[in-house]
Amino acid sequence: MVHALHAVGGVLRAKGAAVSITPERFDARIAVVSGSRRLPAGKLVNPSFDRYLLAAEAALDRVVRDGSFALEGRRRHRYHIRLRGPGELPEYIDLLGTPRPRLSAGTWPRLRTLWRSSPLASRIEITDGLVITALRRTAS
Amino acid sequence: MPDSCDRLSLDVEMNPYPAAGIEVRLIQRFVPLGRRRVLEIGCGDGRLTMQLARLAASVVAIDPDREALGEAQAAAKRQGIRNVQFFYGAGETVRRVGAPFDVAVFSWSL
Repeated sequence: MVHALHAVGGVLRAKGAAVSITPERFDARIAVVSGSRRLPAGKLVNPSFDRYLLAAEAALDRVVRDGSFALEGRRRHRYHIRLRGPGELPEYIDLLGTPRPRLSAGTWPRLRTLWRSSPLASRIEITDGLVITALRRTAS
Repeated sequence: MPDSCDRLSLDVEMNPYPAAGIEVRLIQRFVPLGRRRVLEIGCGDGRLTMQLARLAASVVAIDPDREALGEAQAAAKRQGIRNVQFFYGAGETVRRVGAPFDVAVFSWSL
């Protein structure tokens, strides 16, 4: 990503901005929600993917350290995805691509148990996060 | 702790990304996109490209996945978006077409 950032620096206007959107290094929380009630069931984990995220963070820090860009700001944001039931979880996980995340130990049985005893209009809620990092091209 | 959090949006279509408009809103906290020349790296199927194109003067969108690029082009055509050019490639081989840009967005690409 360092190479990509340097390449991008070459096609940006002076003081142009580079903005990176990445997933947050945060294990997505899974819960059963019905009305205002929210019952945590576990989380989605992806240790392999965390390595890529760490590398991306390091690349962003590096181009700031080497003076190619200045850090304009960084912002974390959480968002929610709602599924109609546990049956949609495998499809959702497929959409996340590779390396594929997995449910943490105990999440699936707990989710099934909570789901069986939940009211009809309940949903599965996944809370995930993103990080926006804005860099400004320097004169150098 | 996050700086912000979406309000809940009910399942319109299964999609692992934030609701439409969230990323653009967050980008604009730092960088205005209105009437800017934007380069998007890793445009994929064009989900975010279309949101950028509605604000920007022009968007050059690149991705190393030809199939996804085809979907993005089809989506742009379907939505009547004409200020986007799509190219095959990755960040390291970024083209000079459309340069210089005001803003480059690495769109969920690591």
